[in-house]
Amino acid sequence: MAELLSAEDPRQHTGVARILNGLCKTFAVGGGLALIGMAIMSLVSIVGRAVFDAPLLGDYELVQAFCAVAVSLWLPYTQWIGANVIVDFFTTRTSARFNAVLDAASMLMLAGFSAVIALRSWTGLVDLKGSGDSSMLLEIPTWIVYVPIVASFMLLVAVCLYGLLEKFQIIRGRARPAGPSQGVQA
Amino acid sequence: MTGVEWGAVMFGLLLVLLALRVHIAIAMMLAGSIGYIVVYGVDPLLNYFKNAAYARYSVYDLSVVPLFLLMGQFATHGGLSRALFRAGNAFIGHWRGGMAMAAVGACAGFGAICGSSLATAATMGQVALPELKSHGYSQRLSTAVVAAGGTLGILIPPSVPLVIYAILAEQNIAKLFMAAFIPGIIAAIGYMMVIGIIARVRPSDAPAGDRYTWAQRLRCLAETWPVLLIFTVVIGGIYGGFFTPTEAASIGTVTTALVAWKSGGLRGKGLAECIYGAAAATGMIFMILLGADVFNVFLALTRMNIELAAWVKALDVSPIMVLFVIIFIYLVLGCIMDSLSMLMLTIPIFFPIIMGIDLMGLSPEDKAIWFGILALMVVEIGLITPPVGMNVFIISSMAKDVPMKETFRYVMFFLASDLLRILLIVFVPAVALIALKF
Repeated sequence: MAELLSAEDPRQHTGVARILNGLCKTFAVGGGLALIGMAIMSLVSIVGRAVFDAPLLGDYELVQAFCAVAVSLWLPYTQWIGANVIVDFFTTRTSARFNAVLDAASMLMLAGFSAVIALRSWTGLVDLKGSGDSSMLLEIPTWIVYVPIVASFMLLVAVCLYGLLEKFQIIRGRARPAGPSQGVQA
Repeated sequence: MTGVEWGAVMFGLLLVLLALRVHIAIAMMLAGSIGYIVVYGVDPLLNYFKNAAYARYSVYDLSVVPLFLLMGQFATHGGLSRALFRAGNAFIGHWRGGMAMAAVGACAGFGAICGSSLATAATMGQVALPELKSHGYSQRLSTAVVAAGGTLGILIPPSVPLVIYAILAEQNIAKLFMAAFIPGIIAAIGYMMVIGIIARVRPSDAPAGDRYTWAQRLRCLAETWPVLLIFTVVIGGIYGGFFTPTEAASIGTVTTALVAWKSGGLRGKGLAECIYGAAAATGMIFMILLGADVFNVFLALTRMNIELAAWVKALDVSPIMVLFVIIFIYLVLGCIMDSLSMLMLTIPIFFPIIMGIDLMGLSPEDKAIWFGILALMVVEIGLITPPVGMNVFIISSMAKDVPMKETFRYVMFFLASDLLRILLIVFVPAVALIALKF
C-alpha cells in the first residue's frame, strides 16, 4: 500500500532498466525541485506585493514556464512505474498472453506518439530560437522551456520501448506477467 | 462523410481502444490524430504537434494541479491526518459510532488541504483503521467508512477534478471551489448520519468510545492548527480574491512542506517520496490532458459536439430527462473508469448540451458552475462503486483480512447517501449556488 501512496518503485533493476530508472527518478526530482522553486517564487511575489507593493516582475510567465518544465519532467516517471491507469474491465477473463499483446500494441502507440511529439517539439524549438520569441516581461527565450519537453518525451520513448520488450517476454512465455496494474489517480 | 460523421466514428474508435486496454491518453491521441488527418490532412496535424505540449503544459491555471498534489503529499508526510482524526475522536468518539464519524470528519478536514481522494483514503486508512479495530468497530464498517470518507478529498475544495472541469468548460476555479463547499459539508454530514443509523441498527458494528475532558479536547484541537491555517489562507485567499489559485496553492505547498519538515516527515527519503507521489499522479493527469487536447481540437473542428447539442435541444424530451441520462451515463462509466479520464472524455460533449437546454431557469453562468459540482459528485461515486472502485481497492490492500465484497456491501449504505445528495443538488441548485451570492 505504501508504495501506491508514495508511488515508490519496489523493483530491483539491472542493466538498461537501471539506467532508465535512474534517469526517470532524476527527471522526477528535477521537476519536483522546479515546482517547489515556483511555489517559493510565488510566495516572494505575494510578500512583495503585500508588504512593499512591488510584486515580482514577470511572476505570471515564470509560473507558466516552471509548470511546463515540472510537468513534462514528471511524465517519464509516471510511465516507468506504470501509474497510467487503463480500463481492464473487459479483459479480466482473457489470457495473460492476449492482454500482453494488447499492452504491447498500446506501448508501441505511446512510443510512436512520444517520438512524434519529441521530434515536432524539437522543430518548434528550432523555429522559436530562430524567431527569437521570448516572454513578455522578463524576455526569457521561449525555446528554453522546450528543452525539458523534448528531453522528457525522448526518455518516454525509451521507457515505452523497454516496456515493449518486457511485454514481448510475457508473450513468448519467458516472464510472468506482473500483478494487476493499479494506478495512482487524483 | 461529413465532419460530424467522422467525429462520431472516431468517438466510437476511442471507446473500442479504451476497452482494449489502451490508456486513455493514447486512445484520445490516436483517434484524434486519425480524424484530424482524414478531415484536414497530415501537415496541419504535424504543425499542431510543434507547440502542443508546450501550449498545454504552460497554462497558468493548470499549475495548481501539481501544486495541490504535492501539497497533499506533504500533508500526508506531516502527520496532519493523525492530528485531525485524534481531534475529531476527542470530541465525538464517545457517541455510538463516534470514532467512525470522527474518521469521516478527519477525511473532510484533510480534504480541505488535499485535492485527491486516493491520497485522502490512503492516509486516513493508515491512521484510522488500526484505531477503529482496537476499539471494537467491525472491520467491514471501518473499511467502508474510510473508502467512502476518502471521496471527501475531492468533494471538499481544493479539488483536482474541479480544476480540470474549470479548464475544459472555461469556468472560474475560485467560483467552482466556493460552490463545492456546502455540498461537500453536506456529504460529510450525510456519511456521519449513515454511520449513526448503522450504529443504531447494528450496535455490534459500532460501539461507543471513551469520553474526553474539555481540556483534552482543546489540546487535541490545537494540534490541528496547521490544517486550519492552511485552509483559511488557501481557500479564504482564493475566495476573498487576495490570491490567484496558483498563489494560494503555492502558500499551501510551502506551509505543508514546513510542517512536514518540522515533524520529521521529510527526513531521509521523505522529500523524494513526496515528489515521486506527486509526480506519478500529476504525470497521469497531464498525459491525459495532452491526449484530450488532440481529440478535442479534432472534435471542435468537426463541430460534432455543437451539432449534437443542437440536436439534443431540438429533441422533444424534458431537459431534466436529458440531465438524468447524462448522470446515468456517468454512473455506468464510473464503474469502469477513473474520475479524471471520465471528465476529460465527456465534458467537451456534455457541457455544450447542458448549456443548450433550459434547466430550472438557471442563468448560463450559474448553470455552468452547478453542472460542474454535479459532475464532480457523480464521477466521485465511481471511486467506490464495484467492480472498479479505486478507493475500496486501496483500503482493501491495507486491510487484507477484510474481504473486498464485505467492504463493497457496507459501501452501499454510503452510496445511498451519495445518490440522495445528487438528487438534492439536481432539484435544489441553490445548495451549490448560494455560496456565490455573498
